[in-house]
Amino acid sequence: MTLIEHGDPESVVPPTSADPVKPAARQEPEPFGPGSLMWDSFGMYTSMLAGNSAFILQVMHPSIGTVVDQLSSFRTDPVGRAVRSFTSVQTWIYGGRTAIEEGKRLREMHKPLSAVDENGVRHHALSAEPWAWVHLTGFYAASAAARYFSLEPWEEHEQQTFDEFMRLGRILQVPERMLPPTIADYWTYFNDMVENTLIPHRTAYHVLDGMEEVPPTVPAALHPVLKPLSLSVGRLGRLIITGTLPPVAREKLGLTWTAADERKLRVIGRTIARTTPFLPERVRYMPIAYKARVAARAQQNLEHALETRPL
Amino acid sequence: MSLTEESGLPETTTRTSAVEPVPFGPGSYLWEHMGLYTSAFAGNCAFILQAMHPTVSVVSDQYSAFRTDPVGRAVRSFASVQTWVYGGEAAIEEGKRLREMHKPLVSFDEEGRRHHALSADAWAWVHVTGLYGTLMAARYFAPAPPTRAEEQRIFDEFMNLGRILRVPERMLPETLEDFWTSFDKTVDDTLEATKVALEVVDMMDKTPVAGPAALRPALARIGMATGRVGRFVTAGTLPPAAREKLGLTWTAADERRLRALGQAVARTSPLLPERVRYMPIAYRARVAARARQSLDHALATRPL
Repeated sequence: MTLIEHGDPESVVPPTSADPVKPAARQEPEPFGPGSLMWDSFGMYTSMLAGNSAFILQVMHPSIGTVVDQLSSFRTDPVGRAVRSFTSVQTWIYGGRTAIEEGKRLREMHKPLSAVDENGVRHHALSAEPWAWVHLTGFYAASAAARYFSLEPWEEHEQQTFDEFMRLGRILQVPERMLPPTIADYWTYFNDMVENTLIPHRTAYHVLDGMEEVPPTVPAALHPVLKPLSLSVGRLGRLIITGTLPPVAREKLGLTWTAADERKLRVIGRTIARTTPFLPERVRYMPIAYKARVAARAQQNLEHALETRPL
Repeated sequence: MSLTEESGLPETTTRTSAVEPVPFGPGSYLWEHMGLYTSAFAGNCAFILQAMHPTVSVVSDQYSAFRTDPVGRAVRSFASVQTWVYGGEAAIEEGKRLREMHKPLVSFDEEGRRHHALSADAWAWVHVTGLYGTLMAARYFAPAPPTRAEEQRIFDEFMNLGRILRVPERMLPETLEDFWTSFDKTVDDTLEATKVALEVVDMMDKTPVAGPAALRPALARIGMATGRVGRFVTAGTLPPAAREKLGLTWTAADERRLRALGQAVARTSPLLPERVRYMPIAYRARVAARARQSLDHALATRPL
């Protein structure tokens, strides 16, 4: 990842001669389906729990932090905002052809979004670097989730997970040149970004602080009831987010992390990993994911009956 | 129907249909009815009408396994019929496969005439008897006889099915009236009390039901009872002219009994679960289509 443009207004700019892949040669994205790791893991509520750190890493990017701060509804309607995000994420993996359309829709939707920060720098939502960063934080979150919330050794699935994330990048219209060719390239780029580009943006603090509060869309009368609940759910979420952030990002945000916190997170992670597989699929997976899995199985079942019919 | 070749000539190459066939899906009449066990039962007269066609009779006499493996032969037929309606893209493939499979089937009758399984009128007759059987099933085995609009809908969907089955376009009737005219004409002028038709009618209450030796006496009794009812329904749903040709008697009392049986079946079978009412491929296709619709709905109404 040598070619990093900072704040270019349009990531759809014609690639320079240094670009390894011309747009014409760009691989058409293939929708995900049964048999992929994403199909089994992405739609689980627990994956989302562990993947929350990705959102913090995203808003620590100066462009994303600024655009979200000024243009997103995350403060006035945090729950609605989260639901829409999770729904979009599910559509990427479980939407079939709709996933491809969703990738295009997201780019269209973000096209007009730009904002100026305190230093007078203009940030565009569609710039190649922040657009790719949103996607690239996903693979980091998957590796963190595997470390804490899975009983299976990460090494066995790492390469396939990485390949599938690059495929997802194409669905999300991430410029080809922003997709690292190897896992090693990925970590070099990721660590460099965390070290040299991410900042303790105030949007990151807003998101972290908002976690323990009752959402503002909830009627005031319900606040006394929901306050303790929001506080404990939020505290757990905050512990998980803090623990699954890269240490450098944690330090930048000034978040403390003790050896006792680490032990606590490991216990929580193992408990979740051991108990959730006993829950029914309908409860473990988010609605679109569950319906897509049921539909895919029903289709496979029909195809099997057709293939083995007496001729 | 302006392109007329001498009918009876083998269609060696599949003609490109004027209208491309579309696989069936939820919302169609055939999607609701074709996979029902009761429809198969009520539509049995179609097989007899097919066997009364001289070409179908001569070719199946020589090539079909209906004598040595009657149950297997029936199971394969029903699986194919289900695939036409519930197979999605596989329906189109099945139509092509059936033509390929029948291509080498040629027989000579006693008079030395050559009969080809793919001859346009024999091929079209097999299809059009399906339409007749479905209309009879709708007439006798539904709570109320079909309206003119329902019959039109069945007709329209069968024309699409005809294209799936690669029936030459010129052999497809243009209207419901045309269908009845040519159907009655074929029954009167072409159908015969063929060897195979008489054998199949005779076999209906004698077909052994496969099963362990210890159960065979019991199964034989069940087979006979089912066969007797089946034979009764088949005789009653045949056109009178065909019935006469086969020497089957049909009284006014028989007609009343058939109507009562049809009403009883039409009113009780919907109380059974879908899994039991529909044949396996049909059931799975219906489940898959609903799951797909549920997902599509969730995607279409997702918060953006």
